Amino acid sequence: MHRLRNLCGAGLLAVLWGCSSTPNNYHTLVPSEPVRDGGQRIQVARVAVPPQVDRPQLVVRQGQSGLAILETEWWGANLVDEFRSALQDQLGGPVGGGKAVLRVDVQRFDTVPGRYASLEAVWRLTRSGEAGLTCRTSLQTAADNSIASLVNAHQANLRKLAEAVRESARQGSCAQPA
Amino acid sequence: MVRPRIGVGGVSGVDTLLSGSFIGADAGESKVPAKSFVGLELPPPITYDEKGKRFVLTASDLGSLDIGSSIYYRKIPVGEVVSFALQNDGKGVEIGVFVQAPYDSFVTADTRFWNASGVDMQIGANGLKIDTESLSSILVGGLAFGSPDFAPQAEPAADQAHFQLFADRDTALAPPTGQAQYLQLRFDQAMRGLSVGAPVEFKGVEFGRVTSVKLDYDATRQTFPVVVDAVIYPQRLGPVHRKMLNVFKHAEGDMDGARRLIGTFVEHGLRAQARSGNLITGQMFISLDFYPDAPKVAFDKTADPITIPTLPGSLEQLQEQLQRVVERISKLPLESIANNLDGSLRELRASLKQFNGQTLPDVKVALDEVHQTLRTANSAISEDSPQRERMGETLDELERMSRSLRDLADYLGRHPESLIRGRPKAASATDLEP
Repeated sequence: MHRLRNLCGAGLLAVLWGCSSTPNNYHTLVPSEPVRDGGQRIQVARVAVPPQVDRPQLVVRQGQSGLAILETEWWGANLVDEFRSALQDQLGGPVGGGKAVLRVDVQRFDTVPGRYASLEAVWRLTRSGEAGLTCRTSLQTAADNSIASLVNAHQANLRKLAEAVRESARQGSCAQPA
Repeated sequence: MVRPRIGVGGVSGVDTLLSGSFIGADAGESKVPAKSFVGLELPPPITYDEKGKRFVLTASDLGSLDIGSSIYYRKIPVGEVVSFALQNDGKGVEIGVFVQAPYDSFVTADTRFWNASGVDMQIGANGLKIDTESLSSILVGGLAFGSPDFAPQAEPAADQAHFQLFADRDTALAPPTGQAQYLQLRFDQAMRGLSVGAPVEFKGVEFGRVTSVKLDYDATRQTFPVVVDAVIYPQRLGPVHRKMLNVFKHAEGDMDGARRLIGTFVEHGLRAQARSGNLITGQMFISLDFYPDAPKVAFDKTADPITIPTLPGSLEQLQEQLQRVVERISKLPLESIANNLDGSLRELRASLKQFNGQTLPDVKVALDEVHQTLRTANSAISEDSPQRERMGETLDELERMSRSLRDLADYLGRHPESLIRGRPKAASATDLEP
């Protein structure tokens, strides 16, 4: 009888052990060091990302056609909000008084482990009382095989995108990132 | 025979009352000596060597003339009647007159003689006017002559020239009438006021008169048309007539030519119309004129006298039209229209009162409310209103929520066992490198 109780206890423990989850790792696109910026403020109004990557988890490419959803590697917020908040951070902080409005349509947000992270976006900058400015920006940053390196590469892409937007707003025509 | 005589010209032969009658003689112009002479009961009016000219006048009758009747020129006695005789065919009288020199030179080829007997009395707008030559001419008659003002020919007439004697001064001095032309006109309407002698005018110029007005019966149309006969003197139209003759190249008196001419005119709209000359007395006259809009009528070229189509008189047309208008008006159901109108107006008034009293205040209240609502809505949806901001935030929140739900559903779809066994161990990115 006593043995049976011990057995059951051991079995329950084993089951509960099986139920325990691996902890999640969270990543953000907002760089840790604050941005020094004295330029004009641009409000990021809307961001759209491809549906394949529009998830809380990181999605990486595998081979020519494969996709892997990393179940334990998550974005801090979902990707749209993460992207917007990071871009807004680069483009002059919070909203309010910004006359220029930016709409970003991300067409490619690829993460290829061991090779690169790429970003391809069509964006439209409109200012009140002016004709809109529509530009396309393609960025690619090499990365190694680690998640941190890939996320850093995405952060670099975003920074370059923000620079391109700022430059375009200043000169009034599409500017390619350096 | 010289005896005491009391005549028109005075008293003569008074001396014979004492000495007794005797025979007077006058010299002649014959060169042949003669022994037997015819004695005259009356002394010849003109002695042999009296200066002057003799003329022959033709008249339809003698009237009150007699031998010795005076001839006046501008009211001066210048001669007298010396003889009269019936024409050979008995259809007129030839009157011999003698005009003394030097007045005989005033008798020219254009001179007209007229009967100056009696009294010519006219009552017109200017009052009573009596026209006479002299007192003796009233009693015994007399002649007068003169030339029309328009006569250009001043050649003195030859001795024994023939002239026509006119009845009065006006006819004598009128332009020559020329050849008469007879017309027949058929009117469908009553011709009251059209009498024999009424003038016939062409474009307002009088050139003929009505000779008879008769009633006819048209068996085919069963109507009683009025047939008016008229005589016209185309020459009275003056230069027009001469020019027309030249243009259409036919001689005066050529009846067929005249018929053709009138036929052409009728084709171009020549119509006769009975018009009212005097609205008070209703006196009418016949007017010939061109009406190009008149309906076409076939011209009967064989009819004698020439028949000219007619138009209803302007007054008749007006009368007919008025009659039609009056009939139409009397047919209108005026009373029921008035009643309906009255009823409609009353209803309209009631409706308006209701509208003013009830509907309008309600509408005003409704409009005020709409205004207020719009103002509220305006403030609510203005660019930086707190409501709008809140709304945007709420929508963002909703979007996030739906995204979370979708993510959950996705996750469960991928790992249904995770509900019991927890999150599966995921491969690290390093393991995924191809």
